[in-house]
Amino acid sequence: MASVAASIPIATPFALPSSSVPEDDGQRGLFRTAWDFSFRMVLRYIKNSYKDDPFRTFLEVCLIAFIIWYMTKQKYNIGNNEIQLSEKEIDELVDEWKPEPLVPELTEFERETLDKAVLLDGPNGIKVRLATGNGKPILNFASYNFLGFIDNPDFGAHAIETLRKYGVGSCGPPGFYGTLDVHMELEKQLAAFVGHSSAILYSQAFTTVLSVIPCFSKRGDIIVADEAVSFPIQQAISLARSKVYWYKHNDMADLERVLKDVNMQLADRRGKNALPRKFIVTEGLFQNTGNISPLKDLVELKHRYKFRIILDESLSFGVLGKRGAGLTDHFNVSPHEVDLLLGALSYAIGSSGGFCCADKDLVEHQRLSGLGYCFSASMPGILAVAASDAIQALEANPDNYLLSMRENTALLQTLLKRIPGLQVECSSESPLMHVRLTPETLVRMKRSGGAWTKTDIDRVLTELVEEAQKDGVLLTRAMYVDEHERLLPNSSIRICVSCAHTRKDIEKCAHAVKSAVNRVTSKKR
Amino acid sequence: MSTFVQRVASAANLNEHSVNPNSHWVNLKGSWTTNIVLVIVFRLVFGVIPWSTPELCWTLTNLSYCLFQYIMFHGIIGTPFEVNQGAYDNLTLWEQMDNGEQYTPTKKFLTVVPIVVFLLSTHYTYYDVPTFIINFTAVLIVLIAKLPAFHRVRFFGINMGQNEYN
Repeated sequence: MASVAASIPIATPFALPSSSVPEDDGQRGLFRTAWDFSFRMVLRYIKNSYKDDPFRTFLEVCLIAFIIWYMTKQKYNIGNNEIQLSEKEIDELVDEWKPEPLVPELTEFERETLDKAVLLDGPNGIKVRLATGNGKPILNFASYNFLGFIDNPDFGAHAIETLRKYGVGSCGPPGFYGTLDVHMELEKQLAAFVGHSSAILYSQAFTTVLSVIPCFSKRGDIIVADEAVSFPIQQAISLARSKVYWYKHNDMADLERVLKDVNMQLADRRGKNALPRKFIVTEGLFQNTGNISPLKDLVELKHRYKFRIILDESLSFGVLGKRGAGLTDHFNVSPHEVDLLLGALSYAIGSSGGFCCADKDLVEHQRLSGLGYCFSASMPGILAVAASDAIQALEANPDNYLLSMRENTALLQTLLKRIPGLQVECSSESPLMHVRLTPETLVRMKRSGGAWTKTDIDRVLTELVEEAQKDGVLLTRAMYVDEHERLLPNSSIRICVSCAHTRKDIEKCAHAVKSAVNRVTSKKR
Repeated sequence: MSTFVQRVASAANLNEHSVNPNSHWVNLKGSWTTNIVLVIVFRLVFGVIPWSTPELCWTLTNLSYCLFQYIMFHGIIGTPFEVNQGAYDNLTLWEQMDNGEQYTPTKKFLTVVPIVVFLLSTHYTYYDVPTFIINFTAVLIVLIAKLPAFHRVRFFGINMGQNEYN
C-alpha cells in the first residue's frame, strides 16, 4: 500500500489532454480544473495524514469503516427471538385458536364441593344458623374465632357509632387522604401491645405478607423459609424474586444446615454484592399444620448466622402468650429480636386487615415502598375501631379470654385423641387443629386392591363433616388451591376452638366427631 | 400485518413499559450536547498547560473522554432506584439504556464520538508508537464494551454483580 500511495503522480492518470475535445473547451476546462483541484486536495490530505505509516492508516480506515457499518445498522432488541409469520400462517393460527372458557369446567368433585358449600343465615359467631338447615342453631367450629370477638355486641355498637362519624370507606390509600386518626391510634396501640418500636397498618391480611416480604427482599437477596408456610407467604416469596431455600418444617437442625450452606456460598463472593439481605421466613402458628415455631432457637440461629427474621403471626396474634401478644409473648422473647413481625387482625381479633411491627426505619420504608400500603385504600374506620376495641379488651383482661380458650383447647385435644381411627396433628397449645383419619383406618376402609386418591380422601372427609353437621356441629375440611400450593398438605378437617365455647359445646363437638368417624369408617369403599 | 404482529410480541416485553429513571436522561438532547462540550472543554483545558505539545494535549483529551465514558457507561452497575424488584441490578448504564435495545440513535452517537475524537487527534498530531498504542487501546476498550455482541458479557469477572450461584 505504501508503494502504491507513494507512486501516484498527482492527477496525471486522469488528466485528459485538452486537445482531444476541442468543441466545448471552456466548460470542460472548468470542470476539469474543479475535479483536478478537489482530487489533489483529497490526495494531499491523505498524504498528509498518512504520516509514512501504513499500519496506522489501516487502523484509521478500519475505524471509519466501523463507524459506517455501525451507523447503518437497524435498531433491534437483544433476546427478542420473534418469529416472523406470513399472513397465511397468521390466518391459520387465528382459525385454529380456541379460546379457553373464562370459568374453567369444574371437575365432578369440585362441583360437589361447590354444591355443598355452607351458607349461613344470619351473622357468624359461635352459634350459627344454616340457610340449608332446619333453622336450629348449630355450633361453629369452623371459623377462626379464637377469642369470640366476631359477634361481640359491644364492639358492634361502637362500630355503628364510628360509622356515623367516618362513613363506610376511607376512599383513598393511606398516603393519599386515606389516613384517619383511628388508623394512627391503632398503629400506636399495636406497637405498644406487641412491644415493638413501631407498627404499620395494612388494609388486608393477605396483602400484608404479599407486600412486606417483597418490600425488603429483592432480586439477589436470600430467603430461607419453612416448607409448611401458608399460601400468602408462598406467594410473597415468589413475588420477591429472591433466591429461596426451604428447610424441613420446624426442623431446627435442617435450618442450621441450610443457613450454614448459604453462608459458605456467600463466603466466596467478593465486592459489594458479597452481602445480600438474608431472611428467615416462618409462621408463628402454622395455618397448614397447627404447629408452633420454636422462636428461641430461631433467634439463636439468626444471631449465629447473621440473618433477619420475618415472622408471620397472622394466627398466633391474640392467641399465644400470657397477654395474647403472640409468639414473642409465648416464649418470652423480646419482640425486637424479630426484625419484621407480621400480624393479622382478621383472625382472632375479628376485624379485618393486617399490620407489621418493626423498627421505626423499617416501618417508614414500607410507607413509601410497601405496595399494599401505597396502592390500596386504607381500612374503613369502623374496622380499625373494632380491632382497637378488641385489642383493648384483650389487653385489659387477657385471662378472661385466653384461659378458657386454652382449657377448651386442652379438653378438645384430649377428647379427640381418644377417638379411635383419628389422628390429631398440632401443637398442644394450638386452638387450631388438623384432624385426619389414620392411614390404618383408611386401609381398613378400602376394599382389597383399591388405592386411595386425594379426591377419595377428600370425599370421605366431606362426608364426615356432613355427619357432624347432622349432630349440630359445624366443621370444615381444610381447602387449598391445590395446583398453587408448593407442598400440598394432607387432607384434613380443621377445627378451631374458641374461648366462647362452653365445656358442654366442646364435649358435644368431640362426641359428634366420634360418631361421625364411626359412621363413615364402617362403610367399605 | 407483519408490523402488527411485531407490536404485540414486543408489548410482551415487560421492560418497555417501565421507565428506568437511571438511564432515560441519556437520550436527552442536553446530554448529547454535554458530550461534545466536554470534549471541547478537555481540549481547551489541556491546551493551556504550559510547555504542552499537541501530542500530550490530544492524548490527555482522548484518554479523559474515554475514561469518562468508561466510568459513566461501563464501570458502574445497578441503579439507585428500585425498578422491578432489582431487574437492573447487574447491568451497566450502557446495558440499561433504551431497555437493552441496540443501534438506537443515542447509542450510535455515543459510539461515534470517541472514534471521531481519536481520528481528530491522529490528524492533528504526530504520535510516536507508544502514544498511539495508548490512545488506540483506550478507544478500543470503550468500543468493545459497546458492541452488541458483548451485551451482558463480562470480561475477567469485572462487574459480575450478583450472579445466580449454586
